[in-house]
Parts: sequence; C-alpha cells; structure tokens
Amino acid sequence: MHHTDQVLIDSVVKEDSHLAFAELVKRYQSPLRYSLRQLTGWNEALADDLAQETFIKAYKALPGYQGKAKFSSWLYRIAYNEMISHFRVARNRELSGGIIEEQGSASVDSRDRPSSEDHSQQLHRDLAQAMTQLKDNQRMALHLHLHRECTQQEISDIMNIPLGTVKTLITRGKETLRVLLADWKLGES
Amino acid sequence: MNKAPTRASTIDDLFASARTSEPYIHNQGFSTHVLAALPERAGLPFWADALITLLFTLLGCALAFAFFPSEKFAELVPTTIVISPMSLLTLTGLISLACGSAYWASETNRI
Repeated sequence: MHHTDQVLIDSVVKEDSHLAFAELVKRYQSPLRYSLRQLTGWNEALADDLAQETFIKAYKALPGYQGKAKFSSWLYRIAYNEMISHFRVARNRELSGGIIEEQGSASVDSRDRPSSEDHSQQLHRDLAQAMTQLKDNQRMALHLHLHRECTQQEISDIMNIPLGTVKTLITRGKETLRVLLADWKLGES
Repeated sequence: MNKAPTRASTIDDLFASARTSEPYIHNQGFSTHVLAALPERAGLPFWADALITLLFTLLGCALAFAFFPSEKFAELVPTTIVISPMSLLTLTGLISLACGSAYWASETNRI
C-alpha cells in the first residue's frame, strides 16, 4: 500500500516508526544522492556521506516539520546546509579533497571521450564536473532550477535567500556553464 | 554522430537530456546504513519524568495513609531493641546489598 509522505511523517513523529522512515529514505535516496553527486563533482563517497547525514538530520528535525513546503524541498534545504557546512570546514582546514581539488580543472569537452563510453552517463559526470567551477550557492541554485525544475520561489525558500539573488545566481551560473560546456555535443537521440 | 547545438540552447538542452536520463541509484544498503545511524529518540523530558514520579509518590503516600493500620503498627514497634554484634553486622550487610542492588538497577535502567 502506498502511503503519502505526510502519513509516513506522522507515523515517524507520533510512533517513532523506523519502518515509515525507511520508506521515506527509500523514496528519496536516489534523487537526493544523485543531486549530491551533481553538487560534489560526482564524488560518490562524499555525496553518500552527505546524503546519510541529511537523512539523519531530517529524522531529528522531523517533529518540527510543519508541512508548509514539500518534503523533498525540506530535505534539499537540509542537504544544502550540509553541503555548505562540509565545504566550509574543508576549506578552513585546507583539506583539498574531492570538489576542491577539481575546481582548477579546465572546461569539459566530450570529444576526448572514448566512443564506446556510455554517452548519457558521461553527460551526468561532465555536468557535475563543470558545476564544480561554480560557487556553492550558484551550483545549488542552478541544479535546483535546471535539474529539479524548481521555481525561483522554491529555490529562494530552500536556500533561504532573496528571490533577486536566486535570479542573479541562475543567470550568472548559466553564463559560466555556457562557456565551460561550449564544446559538449549532445548525442543524436 | 554528434550534433552541435546552438550555444544559446546548449545548457537547457544538456540539462533536459540529463533530466530524462537521470539514473536510478540503487539502494545497495544505503537505507540500512541510515537506519543504523539513527539516534535514539529521547523519552519524556526531564520535568515530565520528575512530575510523574512525584505524582505517583504522593498518590502512594495518600493510599498508605488511608489504608495502612498505623495504630496497630505502632503497637508492634518494640520499645527496647537488643541487637548482637553479629546481627548488626548481618543487618549492615543486607542494607549494603539492598543499596548496591538499587544503585545497579537504577544505573542499568532495569526498573
């Protein structure tokens, strides 16, 4: 039987049902882990760690979830804060792992790929790599806008920034990506 | 053969393509890891716990006062107690044992 998110959330809050929370995790783990891979330069281990931490924080904060925003938006907000916090700590400690190492990489060119490589899989990785050139907030805004198709108001709510800032982040981020991905060729579908 | 999209549409096309081909990331134990790492939910807050204990203590006292035959009990209390050193030592041992057990039980949440 398929329960709505709200039914599962109520079950977690009122009965401390791990079964209900497990259902929520199963429902959102794939999109969240994919998004975090996109946001961490396709660093799978880091993305999974951040996703795990996001779900744990969500579990702790669930009694305070008021249902004003979609559960997925609420989850993305936690994930975004986790990501920001992680990179801030990493930068402070000058631990240049994952995305920080990749920030100096050149533009992405699909012509260098072997022809046998899965084109669409490469697209995901290249997009993630190109996104590493953007600032954290720009990357998140662009991902939510272009990949998750969130409205600018939703992005503003998730990232807790003014609507005008969201517009600026998206416009400038797109310009940067246009340059970085200029050589990328879409395969014939 | 690859086609070269116009620059203006490149980003939107690329992301549209990525959206439609987004892979499903298999669970592969991820949920299990998350559930294993979940913290224990805190029980009652301290004040509620203390309040419940106090209420039940008062209730117990009221019941005891109402039903316990205190007059008869008073008559049973000896006026003179003679206790040998061995009895005193045994009594001390028993009290120590009871205190130790109570401490152990409370520390291990057995009650």
